[in-house]
Amino acid sequence: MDYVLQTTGLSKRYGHFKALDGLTMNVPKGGIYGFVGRNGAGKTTLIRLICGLQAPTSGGYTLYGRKHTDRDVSRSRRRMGAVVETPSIYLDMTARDNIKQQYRVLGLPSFEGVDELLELVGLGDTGKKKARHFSLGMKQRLGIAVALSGDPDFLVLDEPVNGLDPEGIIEIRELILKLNRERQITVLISSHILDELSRLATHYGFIDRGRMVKELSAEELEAACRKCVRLTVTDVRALARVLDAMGAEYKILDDETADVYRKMPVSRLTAALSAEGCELLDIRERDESLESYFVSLVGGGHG
Amino acid sequence: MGKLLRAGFARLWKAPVFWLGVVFMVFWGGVVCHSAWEGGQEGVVYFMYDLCRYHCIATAFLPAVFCGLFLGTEYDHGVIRNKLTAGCSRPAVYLSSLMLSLAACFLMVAAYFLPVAVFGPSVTEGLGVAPRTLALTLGGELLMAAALCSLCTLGAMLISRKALLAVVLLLATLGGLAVSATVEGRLEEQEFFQGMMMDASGQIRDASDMPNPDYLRGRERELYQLAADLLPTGQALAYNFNMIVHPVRMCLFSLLISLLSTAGGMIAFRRKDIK
Repeated sequence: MDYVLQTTGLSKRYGHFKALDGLTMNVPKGGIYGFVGRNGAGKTTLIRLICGLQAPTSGGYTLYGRKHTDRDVSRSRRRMGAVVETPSIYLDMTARDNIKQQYRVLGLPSFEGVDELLELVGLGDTGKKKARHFSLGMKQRLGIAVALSGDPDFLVLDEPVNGLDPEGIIEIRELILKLNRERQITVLISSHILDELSRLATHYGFIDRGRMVKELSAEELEAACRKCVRLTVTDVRALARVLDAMGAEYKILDDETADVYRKMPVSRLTAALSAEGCELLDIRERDESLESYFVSLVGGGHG
Repeated sequence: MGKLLRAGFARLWKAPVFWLGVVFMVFWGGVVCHSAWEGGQEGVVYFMYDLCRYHCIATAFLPAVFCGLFLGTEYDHGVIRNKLTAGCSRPAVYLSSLMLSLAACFLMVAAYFLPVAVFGPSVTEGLGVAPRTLALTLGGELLMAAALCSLCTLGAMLISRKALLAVVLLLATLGGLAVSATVEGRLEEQEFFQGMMMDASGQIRDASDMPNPDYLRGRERELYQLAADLLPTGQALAYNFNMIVHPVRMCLFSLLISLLSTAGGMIAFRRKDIK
């Protein structure tokens, strides 16, 4: 597998505080890597390091195969765009001027593609409106557009949906998926909003206290998260007898509900319950959420 | 670095702080010319040499205001991250910021000379000094502005908070001017008292033979003069009020301050953790 970013034993100290503690991670090419961790776990620190904003205390990383200490690592950085924490934009400029400014910084010969970029992030009609008058979602999208200047194939987004309203969250999600699918851009996205990440990520890295706790693909995560069916019935004792007869693994939650850790034919189940004089009131499929998986990985006792 | 400069100048042309500075300096040049014309009506003689110096205190504030508001935005809006993430080296980011503040400051100083060049000859009685002296003074003024720009750029590249930066730079300039005014005040003390004085017995007598105890002598005077020549704010006062003692030394000090602050700033900026 090709990797865009690989870190080995990456550490960063601020005085006596270890923000990153020997972190090892691998971001595969073409994927959407969800970087999951609590606030203060070290997500933003890692992003600052790989963007060249800060230097590691020890350990290292490679970006497109180039070590961070190589003189020409800036050539690899040219292939990446990033939005670190807040969108990096000039608030006293229009969306167009902001992108043109980044084109100049990159030394691009013309402003070809500025309109396309504005359309891509849905800011094509902002005209002369200054960025300071944009909504948070618009600023975030402009930040992504600036990061996309120069056609990078690796996009790093630090908590991109933080503070956005539901509509803004959907817009950013769709944009990220579009970039990944249509432009084959590898995306590293950090977040502590796990539900949102689970709709995007193809790979996950779980970080806690500066250390990588677990790295796995979305398929592996799905397999790891046990599926269950939550049943609501009129008589939970009758349900238990039926499930025992069917050999299903289950857990009684209260007088009316139980979780069953196996898929089963609904018609057979209702017939069996009916024979026991029990009525099936509700049935719904449940996943063990990413959140509960995360909590089981890192423990819920601190933070 | 060329691309960073292109981007910087594109932003500069649209920056209100730059144009406000330009307008203020044109206005200040006009005020100075008007004062010279009024003085001429009352028989006071002004030379072009005087008009070429009267901007120096205003010029001392230009780098603080410009760097605080223009360069401070780079951190405040986070856009400095775009440059570094795009692969621009830290020395290039630092030097381009310095060159931008130098260019902006020189252009604002040039704006002062616009009304002076147009109206100055008609309200003054010639140059007033040898062309060489005038050239040395003008060069020294620019070097003084460059030293202040270098110091303010150093501050702008190391202080991440725009509001704090603006306050620090303005207070440092004001403080520098206050210290320099004190130093120049001591240096300007007369060696002997002037006029008449009353002694302990109530007798009034000529005081011109009485030495002034506040007059600086020997090593102490040399140290005060060194401080006045070394501090860019001291130079601003010296140029503005024509208290220039060592013009060449002042130029060399400005050059030294520019080089040392830039070298030190680049080293510190290279190690700085940017958020």
